[in-house]
Amino acid sequence: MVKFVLFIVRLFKKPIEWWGISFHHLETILKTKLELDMRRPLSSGQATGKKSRTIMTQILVFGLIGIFTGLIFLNIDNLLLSTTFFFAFLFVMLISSLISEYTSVLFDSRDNDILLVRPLCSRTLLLSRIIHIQYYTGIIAFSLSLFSIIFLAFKYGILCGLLFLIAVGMCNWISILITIFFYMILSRFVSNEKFKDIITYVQIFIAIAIFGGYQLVPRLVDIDAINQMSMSIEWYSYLIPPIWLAAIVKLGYAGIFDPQIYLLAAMGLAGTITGAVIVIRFLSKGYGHILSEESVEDSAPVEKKTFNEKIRHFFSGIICKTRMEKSGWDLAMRFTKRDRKFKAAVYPSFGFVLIFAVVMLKPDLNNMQETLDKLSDSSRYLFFVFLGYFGTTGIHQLPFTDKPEASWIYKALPVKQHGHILSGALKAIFFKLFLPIYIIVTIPAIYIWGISVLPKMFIGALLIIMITLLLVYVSNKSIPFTQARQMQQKGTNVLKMFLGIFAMGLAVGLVYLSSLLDNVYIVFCSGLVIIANMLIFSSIRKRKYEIMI
Amino acid sequence: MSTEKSSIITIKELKKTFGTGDKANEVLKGINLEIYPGQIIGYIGPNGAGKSTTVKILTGILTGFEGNIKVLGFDLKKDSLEIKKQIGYVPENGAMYDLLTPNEYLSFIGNLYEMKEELIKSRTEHLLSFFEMEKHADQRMDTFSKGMKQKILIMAGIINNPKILFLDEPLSGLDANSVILVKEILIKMAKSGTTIFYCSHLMDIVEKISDRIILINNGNVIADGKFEDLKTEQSESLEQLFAQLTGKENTEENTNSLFEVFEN
Repeated sequence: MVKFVLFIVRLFKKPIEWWGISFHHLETILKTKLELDMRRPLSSGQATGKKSRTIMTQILVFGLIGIFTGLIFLNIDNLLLSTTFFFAFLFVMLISSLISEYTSVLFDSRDNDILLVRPLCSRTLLLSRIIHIQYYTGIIAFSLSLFSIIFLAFKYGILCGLLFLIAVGMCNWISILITIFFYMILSRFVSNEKFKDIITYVQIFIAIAIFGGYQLVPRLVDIDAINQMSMSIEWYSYLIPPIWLAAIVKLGYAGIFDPQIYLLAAMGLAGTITGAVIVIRFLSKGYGHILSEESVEDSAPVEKKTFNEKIRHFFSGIICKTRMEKSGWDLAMRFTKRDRKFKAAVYPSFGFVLIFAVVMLKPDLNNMQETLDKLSDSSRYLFFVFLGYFGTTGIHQLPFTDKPEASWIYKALPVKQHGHILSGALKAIFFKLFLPIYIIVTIPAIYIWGISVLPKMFIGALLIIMITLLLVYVSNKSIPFTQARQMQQKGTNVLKMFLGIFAMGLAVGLVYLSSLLDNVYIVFCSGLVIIANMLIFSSIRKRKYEIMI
Repeated sequence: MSTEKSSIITIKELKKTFGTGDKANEVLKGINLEIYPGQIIGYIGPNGAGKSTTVKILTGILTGFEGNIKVLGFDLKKDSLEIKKQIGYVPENGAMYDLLTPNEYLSFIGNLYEMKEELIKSRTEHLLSFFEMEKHADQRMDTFSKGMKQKILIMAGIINNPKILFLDEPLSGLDANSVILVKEILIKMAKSGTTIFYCSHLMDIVEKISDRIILINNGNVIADGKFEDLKTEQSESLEQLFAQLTGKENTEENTNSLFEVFEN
């Protein structure tokens, strides 16, 4: 595979050298980086040989998604329109994957001391990273397109299939150019710390948008309307990359000579080259600077105590039972505030609350009053309890950290009951993340169903806490921030997700049952659930935990 | 011949600030230095004084500084690539691709300096043999001890026969024999004209090998010269001089007051 990548890169030796890049350096770095990837274990204790199997799995999964996407060519006869849709989809997939998964590779500063001190120009460094990332996004793009390439080759001829393959390669290239262009421009206006913050929030936004897209788009798209759609080329068509690429594919299908298509295809070629020149020749200097700033560890800002933190500190004194538990609370509060990866993993689920609300409640935006009236007659407040469950997603991220080796401290210190650290951290997450989300979903519930819904929402919250705690008790045998993030790649995720969905259903079911009771009984049941929660917390505190270092 | 012409590194009013606004932290506050060929510079200072920042700037890892720096006659801001071709660097934090073997890693570094294959091969062989690492030449480095990795970093730092060698705590993790070897290499390299810029906390070694000591504190140079010229009646060793100049000479008093706190 490494040889194949280097072969492809060698085809572009001349333009690469023309950009002022040392081809020898580029080849040396790429060869080493790809070789390192092959040797790097997926996670601690996992055999390196599984790497190729992981890539195969990736090809299969994306290939399957590609088949569904490729169905667009069956539904839409207009080749220009269908390929435009396909490339729009491919752009979204690739750019979102680049931002959410490969940004860390692009700005990886771990080898600054190895590379920045050698006589390498910023252009060489940037292009080596781009090609390194392209290898992986290329696999995604190729897998997503495989079905469509074969289908188009059969339906419109081999040349059309071949041009489609080239267009997919160009799409992969333009996607990374667009992403880097955005980063480089952003880096010129904001400080390094702000830059990292903005990227994290963009990653969160993209996760929400993709989730929302999958949920909402199929409901909004009218297939019949698309079939009826015709595509006329307007002035702005020349500014839209998916249309450029679609025009390139169209060139391969023998038809009437259309100068507009030729012009669009030429735009595709010009856009690809101009983009590369702008990013690699002119913006790469900024890239070297970003990497350079990353190499400083002591530039982190001084953490000042905010008003919110003072409030949380006050509550920790009331909620936490022991000093050790309070330590767990403080640790969780600080880590969840400062760890960008935690935010990127957890915060999107808060956005899902809004998307789920739209998907499940199907509000009629033209007549909101009618929607609200309909809702108030139903028992759909249970759905709001379900939404509140999203506030607990942070709990499942609690064990993970980038520095699991730091957990030696728990082995070295004379701590008998490590469970106090976990219970404190759990309380912190419930207080910091679950409580605000639950309050946010409770307010519209009260607005729709009146104050009488409050006891039900209250017992709902208690039940969610209980079920989450039970899940933690069953599945989480490690104390906070002691496991490597890579461990999440292992197959337990599916099981946890399944358990989570089951638990959500159970919580909602129990709230429904409680709604059949009078408020007095609800208060009584709430008391029982509070006692149950206290007992589970106590069991979590007393249990033994694995510390892997 | 003016001083600027003969110096191999000229630093004028070097300033570096991290962060902006309220969070700005000025780490280097106007460093001025002239360094000459063949000198062994012991660059010392307390933690956070700005030693590593200076080295990272001089090696081109860190950009975005104020002031003027000329290395080997080249302006660091404009011609950093020309400078990088002729310098070597041994980092403090053991950064290396440890999934490679020593042979592969040194070949990778040699290639980045565009050295000829035969030259890389012969230098690699000699260096591995000098550090008694030849039997590990084709083993992956991820299982190496800290000291073994440090030896590879030193080899990577000198494989291109640099005119200036920057070392940031190069002896951490090395056994006593290896420390002697490294000291000998540094002294030999300096005799053949290589300038050594050596950052360390190990005062006894700095005192023994350096022919010029530069002490920085809070981003400023507070002492610069030969140890013999710098030492006073109160400070016979470099350690004492360091404590005196960085305001830490009343260690005993501080220790006593700390223990009083513990005893209470």
